[in-house]
Amino acid sequence: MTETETGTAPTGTPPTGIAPRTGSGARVELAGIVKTYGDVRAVDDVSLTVEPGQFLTLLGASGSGKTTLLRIIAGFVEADGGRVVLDGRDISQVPVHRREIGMVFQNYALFPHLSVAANVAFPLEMRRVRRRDRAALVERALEAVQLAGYGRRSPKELSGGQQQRVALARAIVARPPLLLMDEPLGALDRRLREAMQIEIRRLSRELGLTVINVTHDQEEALTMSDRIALLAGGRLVQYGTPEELYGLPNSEVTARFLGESNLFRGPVRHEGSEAVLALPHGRILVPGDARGEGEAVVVVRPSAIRIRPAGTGPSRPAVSEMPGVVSADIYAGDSRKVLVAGADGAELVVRCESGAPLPCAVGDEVVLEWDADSCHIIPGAA
Amino acid sequence: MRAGPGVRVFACLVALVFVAPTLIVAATAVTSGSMVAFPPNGFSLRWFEEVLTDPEWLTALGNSVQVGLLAAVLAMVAGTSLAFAAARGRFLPPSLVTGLAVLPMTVPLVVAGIGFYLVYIRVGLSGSVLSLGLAHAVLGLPFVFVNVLAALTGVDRRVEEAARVSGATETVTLLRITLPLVAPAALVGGVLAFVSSWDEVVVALFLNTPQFRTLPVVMWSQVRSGVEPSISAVATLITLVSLVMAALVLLGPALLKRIRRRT
Amino acid sequence: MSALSQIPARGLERDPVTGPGGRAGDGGGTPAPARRRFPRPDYWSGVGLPGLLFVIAAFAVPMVVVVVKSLTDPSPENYAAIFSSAVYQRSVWDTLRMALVVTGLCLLIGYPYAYAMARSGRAMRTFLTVALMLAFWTSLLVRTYAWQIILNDTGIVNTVLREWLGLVSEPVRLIRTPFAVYIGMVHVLMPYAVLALFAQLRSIDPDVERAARGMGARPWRVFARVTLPLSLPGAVAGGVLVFVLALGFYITPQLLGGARQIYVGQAIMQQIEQFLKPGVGAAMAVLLFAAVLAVLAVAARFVGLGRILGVGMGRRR
Repeated sequence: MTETETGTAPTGTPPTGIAPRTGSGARVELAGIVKTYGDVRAVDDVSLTVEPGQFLTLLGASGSGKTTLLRIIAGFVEADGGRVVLDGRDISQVPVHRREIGMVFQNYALFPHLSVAANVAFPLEMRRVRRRDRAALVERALEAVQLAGYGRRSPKELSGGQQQRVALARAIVARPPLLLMDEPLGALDRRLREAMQIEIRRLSRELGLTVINVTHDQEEALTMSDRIALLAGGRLVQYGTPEELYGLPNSEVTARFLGESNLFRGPVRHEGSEAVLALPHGRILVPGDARGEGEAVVVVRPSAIRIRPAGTGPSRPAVSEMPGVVSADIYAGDSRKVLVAGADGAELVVRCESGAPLPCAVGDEVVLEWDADSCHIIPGAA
Repeated sequence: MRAGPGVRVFACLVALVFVAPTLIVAATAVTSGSMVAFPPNGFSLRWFEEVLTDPEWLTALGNSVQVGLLAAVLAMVAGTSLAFAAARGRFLPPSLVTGLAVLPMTVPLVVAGIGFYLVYIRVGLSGSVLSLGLAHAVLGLPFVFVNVLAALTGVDRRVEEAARVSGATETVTLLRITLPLVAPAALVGGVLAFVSSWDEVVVALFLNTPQFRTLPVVMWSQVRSGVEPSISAVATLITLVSLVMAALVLLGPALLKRIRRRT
Repeated sequence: MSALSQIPARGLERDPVTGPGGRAGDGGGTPAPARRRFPRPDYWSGVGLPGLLFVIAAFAVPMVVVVVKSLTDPSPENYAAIFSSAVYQRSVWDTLRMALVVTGLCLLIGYPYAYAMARSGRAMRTFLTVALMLAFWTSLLVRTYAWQIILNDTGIVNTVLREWLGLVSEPVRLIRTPFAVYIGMVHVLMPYAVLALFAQLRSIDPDVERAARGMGARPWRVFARVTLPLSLPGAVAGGVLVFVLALGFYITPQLLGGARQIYVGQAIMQQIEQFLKPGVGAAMAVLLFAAVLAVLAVAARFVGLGRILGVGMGRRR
């Protein structure tokens, strides 16, 4: 399941005057990481590679092993098996304090008895940076997180967002090749979280940092990451770009975890030149590139579906169809969410533009239709 | 349900009985007469003056202060060390460490006194600041232990992890991050250890020699032969120190917080 | 944002492995450390080592020596002597009775005090707390000395009775009696009972009492059926602590008591100071400590040891 990427490090659009610092981030390789607690396999044979400067998100529900994996990379937890390789060097046995990693914690974990400046200076002090160089570096790091002049304050006087910026400054001040983030935005409210997402992304690009971020928030994963590693039950389910995970999920787990989706499972049957899913109701075309026999799952995103009243013909040829009854119509600002009870009892989700009038009302019989090429098949899904 | 008037009157009377002895001692110390009498005959501080110029009392005062400080420092070091082992050690079972650290609190002073006496005599430690300081440190250790243990459970492990990942070894993290965070608790325990040493008599009696006596021991030997205004003066001094220390511990944190908020 | 670019890249130009190495506790700048477990499994036990050594050397060893002494100076006969001697047995019964009476008085007088502290306005609570703390933190010796001043033949009580009121011609014998010991001990130990009861009473949700009132119970019944049962754990904790402390008392009985009642604490001292029989004294000390631990162990099953020892934390007698 490991996918080794060799693409160029994404740089975004660097602000004027700063060349993208590709090459200052580390290449991180995880090989066969295993960690068991008692009978539980918290991390089960995870292997993946992060290229220098990439922003990787470890995504998963709680208990998926993402935090354990991060703590293994940081060195707080010793893996039972496998290697953590940083720039070609196996650091599995290097103690935490010599890994030269930056880390941001969920609850900020600032040193409460030290000033903001002393907090940020701490990694420099530990790395034996000369005292007179420290002040300037601290000030620059604080500038970078837009907290210039806050050095003499106590962390307790700062707001949650400001504390997280201090934590970020502390994590990057010594320019570690790798920045780890353990749900760093979990404690912030939504608006602040979105602002911080953008800022962290900008900062990591400018510094060319390799970042490994842990979150259970799929939206955060999709907006921030160059790569997403989806974990479930300790296993790496899928690893790829956000587009790949969203558009081409390789499993039901991925499809369900990233965005809303409608899943149809059944045996694939060939009808002439077409392949369809053999279901008692409706007619679901399997996209042309999948020609395998046996069980398959078809993933249809809610926004790909159109609704038409029952008894009318398809709006265009070669569409998949599924009958149902509208059970709810939920207005959600820029879109509306329509829930339809399918003929087989499953609830289907449809997203329509909120501006367009709906051709039906709650309780109406309708037919859902979508183009064959706007859905995705997970072949051989057991 | 509010306490009824009867209960309150009763409580107030008991409160008066609570404070009366302390006040009476203080009153008999400021008498200008040469006998302990209540109410005192006139006001003067002559007995305090006498006590504070008497070499015997002064030596005892010096001994008490030294013993108390030594006991406090040793209790702080040992108690904090044990609290870490109890909170985080895996090699030694925490229950064993906790039991050992709290046991001195349960031992009757007479029993403890015999033990210290028998051992310290044998190793030639009797009758010194060191011997009594060690003994009192044992008695004060549980206060430090319990306070630091409570503080430790409140320390976020991720703060320590942040230090580790910043490049600090375990020991540097301990010295720079964790210890400063539990220092106030250890200090409170240390003050308590000082006070418990300051007015402790029984163990001090076991370990005293004619050349080495603490304030309570001298007071004890004088009290047995009767009451004197000079003893009252010493008793008042002992009490004042204890009360100031207690106030420091009980009200100190709240006061500090208020001062900090103002600045 | 040009500030950023000035932060030197990549670990401040140090070799990532050996750069920050060589600090205290990580074994020098060896490049690739051999397979080592980290975090070290016994690091914190190591931190606890000084404290452990201290407690063992300065406390455990003396306690063991007391036991050894009781068995070897001259022989285990010491215990037989204690159990067969009528004098010692009387001393044990006197001590038990005294401790029980003191415990009872402390709870009986302490309960209303704690109740008034817990269920009154701010001014009242402050007054009661200050009075309690003033007594609590005044040295035991000083308080005993105070009762000496009060109860002496020429003390305050006798002066009032004889010279002011003229009720008696001869001084009433107050000091050197069990009565004086009880007064002194109750005064010294009651704060523990009050603190334990107060903590318990404060923890009772006032809504529980309000609910009982709302259901039509009279104040007395609310107290008897709700408040009192709920405050019982505090009474047990405070009572056990007072009892255990009273068992080993020496100073107060010695100064205020008569020659006829020799309590265990005094008997132990006597063996060592007067009779020069440290073996017997040690044996009595072992029995006393064992009794204290046994009482605590039994009580701990009902209210928890932390609760008992936590009362009046920071002050011992």
